Amino acid sequence: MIAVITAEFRKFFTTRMWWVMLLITVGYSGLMAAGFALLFDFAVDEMMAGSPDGAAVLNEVLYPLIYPMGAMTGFIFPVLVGAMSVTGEFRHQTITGTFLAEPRRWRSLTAKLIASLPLGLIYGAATTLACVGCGGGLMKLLGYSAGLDKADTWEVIGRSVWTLVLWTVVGVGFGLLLKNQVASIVVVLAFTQLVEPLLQMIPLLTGVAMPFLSYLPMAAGNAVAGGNALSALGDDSGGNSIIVLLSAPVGSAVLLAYGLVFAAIGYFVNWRRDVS
Amino acid sequence: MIQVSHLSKKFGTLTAVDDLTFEVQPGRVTGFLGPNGAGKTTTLRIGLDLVRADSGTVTFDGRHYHQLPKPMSHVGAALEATGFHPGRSARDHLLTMAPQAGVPDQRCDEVLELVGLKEAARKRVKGFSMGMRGRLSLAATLLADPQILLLDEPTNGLDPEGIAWMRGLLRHLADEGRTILISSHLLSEVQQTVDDVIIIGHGRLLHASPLADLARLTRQRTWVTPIDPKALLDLARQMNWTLERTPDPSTAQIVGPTPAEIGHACFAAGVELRQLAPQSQGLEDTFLALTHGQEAIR
Ligand SMILES: Nc1ncnc2c1ncn2[C@@H]1O[C@H](COP(=O)(O)OP(=O)(O)OP(=O)(O)O)[C@@H](O)[C@H]1O
Ligand SMILES: [Mg+2]
Repeated sequence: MIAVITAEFRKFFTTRMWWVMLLITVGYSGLMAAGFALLFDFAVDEMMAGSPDGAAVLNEVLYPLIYPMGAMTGFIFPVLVGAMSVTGEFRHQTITGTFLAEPRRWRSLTAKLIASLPLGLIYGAATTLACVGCGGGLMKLLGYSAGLDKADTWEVIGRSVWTLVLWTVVGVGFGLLLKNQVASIVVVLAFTQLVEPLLQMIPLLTGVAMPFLSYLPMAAGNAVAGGNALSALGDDSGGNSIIVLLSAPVGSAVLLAYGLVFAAIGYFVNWRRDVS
Repeated sequence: MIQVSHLSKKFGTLTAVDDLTFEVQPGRVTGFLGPNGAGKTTTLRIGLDLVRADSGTVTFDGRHYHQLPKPMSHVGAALEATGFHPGRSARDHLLTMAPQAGVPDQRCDEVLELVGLKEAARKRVKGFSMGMRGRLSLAATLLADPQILLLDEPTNGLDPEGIAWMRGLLRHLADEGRTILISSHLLSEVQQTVDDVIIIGHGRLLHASPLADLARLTRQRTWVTPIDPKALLDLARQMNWTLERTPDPSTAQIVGPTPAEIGHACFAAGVELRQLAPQSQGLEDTFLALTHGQEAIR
């Protein structure tokens, strides 16, 4: 099994995709975090009228929003990377070689899933580092606290990395489910940029809580990455939350379940099929 | 040894492989021949567990492909000159296979040199010609030094020099006792390479024998130009020869007897001939005759 996993790593690191996607992820997430830090500075000046107390309070609220920025918005890149590690094999017909090297198909599939964990860790760590570097660095420059001395902040950082690991697994599972490379990219983008955000708007617009929406993938991912800070944003005037997020452990389980269920279906629908 | 036993496979209503049974012996190069669409690639893919058979089995030294503990070090297979990521270099392509082949990385450089790709080792496959891709496929099959080689149309895209080189290499590998099966839709392309032939058409076995025995199936044809056509016709009827017309009205073709037999009979009957010439018939004609009408119209 170690040989199969090693082969998966080698496949991953011998094309340009991995570092091109890593650069995009890091750049995108760093920019998002920096943008948020600037927005924060603007908000302090405009709304708090420079009140030092207000700024400090807002400062506290903000680390949990700046640092997981990559995990909450840049997660599509690890998803695409995971999906392409599967769809690329079908696109370039390298799947033939993969199956010749390991004809027991469940083993080659398991190897892909296991290999995605350290790959996700690389993307997760780099993305989170970009958020801390750009977001936290800018906060420091603007004279606020970056919060790195607090244990809570480190928990947020850890969750961000973990979320991106989970998203990579979801990506691999999705690639197995929808093996056509172009189609899978289109569906990932459409769902994450359009479908789920629109669905999540419904309770905000209608004022009716819809608990099942918290089981959708992005909501589950945000529950792992952002946790309570996000739920607080959805509080109505009465203190009742309209956006209900799962707890982080449940969110993790839900996200992992998406990945594994996709993979299981993909195994029967695509992976076990004849290759010709 | 490779054993194919009562193998059948349908794609929808199309029968690609039809109760196919044959054996491939070690120490020999065996040609797996048949016109386009005959089912050669399908047979190989079934053997490699890439495609599921409807019935029948393919075994390598008694075991199914997926039962081999280290399949790549037992069977080396090159299915076609595709299956490369265009952005990966030749060397990297082999490096991705090395862990499962169970070979050290330097073995990749060795096989690249063996197939003549040393210079191009670090170039991306995107820029490779057909012949270079074929060589890289071959390098991949040789990586783990397997006892059995399955090569699907290995001469595709090779120049004459490359074909001669491959011929020598396969001969050398067979002499080491390996089992080698190469497919082709042209007998002439592998005629100088193979010891045995297996010919299929419409997924069915048409002929399996050493190459030399195939030559014996050839029906002798002889050009004859008589002074008196009528006398020849009478003699042909008497001798039960098959006479065929030729574009030249004064010349006929006799199918069956050797020129010596014809010459003797004509001399004995007093039929004077202006010309008596054997038609040199290549094995390719025999092959075409065997597979005649087998070309798939699909
Ligand atoms: N996946 C598939 N789905 C449907 N039909 C298929 C499939 N694979 C092969 N066939 C059909 O099965 C028949 C045998 O094909 P195969 O590729 O085995 O022939 P071949 O002998 O290798 O031919 P060639 O010399 O052209 O390579 C063909 O008619 C082909 O169209
Ligand atoms: Mg073929």
